[in-house]
Amino acid sequence: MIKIPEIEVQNITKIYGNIVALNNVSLRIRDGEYVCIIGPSGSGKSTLLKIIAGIVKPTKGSVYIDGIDVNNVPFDERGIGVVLQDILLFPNMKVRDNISYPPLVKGLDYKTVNSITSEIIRNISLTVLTERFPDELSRGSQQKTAIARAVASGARLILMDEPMGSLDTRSARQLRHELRSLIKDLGLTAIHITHNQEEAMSVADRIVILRNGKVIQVGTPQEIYFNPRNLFIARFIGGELNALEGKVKEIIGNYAIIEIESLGINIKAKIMDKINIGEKVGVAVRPEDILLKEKSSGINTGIIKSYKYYGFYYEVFLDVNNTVLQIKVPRKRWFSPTIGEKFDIDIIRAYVYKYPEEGLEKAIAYE
Amino acid sequence: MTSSNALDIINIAKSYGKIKALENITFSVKKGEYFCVLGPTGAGKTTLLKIISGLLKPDKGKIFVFGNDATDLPPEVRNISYMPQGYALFHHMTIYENVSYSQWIKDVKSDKPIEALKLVGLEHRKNDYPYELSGGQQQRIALARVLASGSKILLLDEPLSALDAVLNIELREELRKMIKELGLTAIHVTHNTTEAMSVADRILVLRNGNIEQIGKPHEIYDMPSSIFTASFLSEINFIDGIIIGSGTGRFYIETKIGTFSILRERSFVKEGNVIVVYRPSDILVSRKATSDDNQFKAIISDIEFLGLITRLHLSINSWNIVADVWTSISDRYKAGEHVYVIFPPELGIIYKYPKEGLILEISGDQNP
Repeated sequence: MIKIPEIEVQNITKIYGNIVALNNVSLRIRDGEYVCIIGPSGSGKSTLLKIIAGIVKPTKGSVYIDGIDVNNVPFDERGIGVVLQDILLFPNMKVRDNISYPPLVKGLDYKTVNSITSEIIRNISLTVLTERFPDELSRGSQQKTAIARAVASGARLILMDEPMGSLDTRSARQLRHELRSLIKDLGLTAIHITHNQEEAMSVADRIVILRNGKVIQVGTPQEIYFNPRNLFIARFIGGELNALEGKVKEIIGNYAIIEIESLGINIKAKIMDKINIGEKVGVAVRPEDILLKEKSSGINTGIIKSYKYYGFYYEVFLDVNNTVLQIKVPRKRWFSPTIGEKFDIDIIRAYVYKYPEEGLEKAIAYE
Repeated sequence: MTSSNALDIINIAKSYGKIKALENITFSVKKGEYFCVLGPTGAGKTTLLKIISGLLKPDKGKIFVFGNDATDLPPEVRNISYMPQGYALFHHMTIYENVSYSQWIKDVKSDKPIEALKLVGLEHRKNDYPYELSGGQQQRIALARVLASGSKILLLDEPLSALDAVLNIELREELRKMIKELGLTAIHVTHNTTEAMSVADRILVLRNGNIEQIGKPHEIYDMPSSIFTASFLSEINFIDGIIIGSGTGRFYIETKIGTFSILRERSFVKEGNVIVVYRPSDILVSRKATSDDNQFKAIISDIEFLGLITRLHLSINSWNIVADVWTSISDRYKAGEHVYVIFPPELGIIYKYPKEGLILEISGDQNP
């Protein structure tokens, strides 16, 4: 038997005035899947979520939930739980009462409501806080309560728009584990918008990247990290990238040898677009894919111009042949950088694309 | 007061009713320093900035600006500019009008607004309105407005928190560069650890209205003075134990999974009940046994792929930990695999067992 996907977004276009917020977006989200949508501000993330929720009507296209076209089904009949960046709780109700509110208004009997509420409270570890009022909780615990309430409504699909957006980094780190476990333990489907790529990698089964209203890549965190479909994605995942101009010297299966004139070296890069020998190309090298070798032999050598300490790694700017490369070096016992120090480099992973018409800088520009 | 300091904050306290927002805050910021105040929501960060700016009066204490007592001076003559969180631009005013607002109020004319716009690279947009700009550009305008005030000290309240992760990286670099090139002094409030590590010359960690630690980024990261600070800067692994002996520059700590040996200089105590802390990135994972100390057998329960790093969730008997390995150069591990985990003696930290309880210390939750 063919399993019907829980959510199917088919050719959705949304136009506001003369702005195309979404341009022919199609997506299938499987039952029980945890999907994150990421993309720069203005890429259409929130619009897509609102269309799935039924708060905004698409200009074209349809949303199917369990095979049923829900375009004319209003938000409150779609069986969806919603969590927003701004935490909305009833301030005059204790944690437990906030969570039991949705099943109660649905008219369930007290015994059922109690057992639903207790299960969720246990699942998201709010047990010791149930008798508190929202303003007696930390921001992280408040958002946890809001998530618990969304789940308690009995919704099978939870939509979250920047659920960690108002939390400090530490609370966000803690909450994301609990959030994923809760969704997985209860077998729910979740769509979660975030501007934090690490958060997306941590919680998602699959990630959808939107840019200018279009889906530009869908895949598991590993697929996207190891196969960025274009230069922009290579930069977007991780935030930093060495984008270099090169010329194709040789093609060996899925890889090509690229001459990088500015560095005076050749790089072996994974072929991501159709390219030909002799062609000018764009090469993406992530800062963590350049290794510094312990001893300098004078080949592929650079000089440290500056560096910064981030705790678990150093960010090093290395001048190779007057081109500055950004490199992330894990903190190791032997490595403690000094400005002016020389190192050989070894590029262990790179990706090659057609040279972008708009130039390298624009191709990876964020806004 | 030494005039090499831009700011001397002495014994500042502030309460709102029964709530103590700040208690006995004393620190100095040097001229030209980029100083970050880091702490969770509700730690008192914004209150501190407002007091320095003069918008809020402290219950007690003194504030010296460039060596002069400014405690009773009104905000506009302190030579300090405050950029509140949210940076609200005036939407009915052009970019230029926004940036020259402080000049207009003081009824002076100068090149400063144009210079500031040049600095943030948006002079060509001076006749546009804020809504015509992207989020990153609006943020730059808010900065230009503060720069155009001509103040020598800038107070920045979460200046980058409204931005996406990628823009945050881009703008924080620019921000630090500008402050340094203009020879200004900045106090930048944030709850984002990486941001603070990236821009700050020194970091002040604030917790429940008290200073937890002040130091250079590497000092705070490498030797956090409390479990709270350690856990605020990154995820941590911790286990309780008892110091059972010492020798060859090390302490030996007995725990439920076995004995750890850790360098003496990495300990805040000499005896008794302790907590041993290791950051996930400081733990080594190996498929083969090695000759290292503090080596334990573990089983991988889950693998979390985060791009730059891969986080391994491991169980050592009943102790669950996380270890971060560098994705690009590490072995590919699988859940269920048996591995060896090594805790380098020079990277552990030993704290006194917190008397108020461990959970509160880790969570830093000031609520009852």
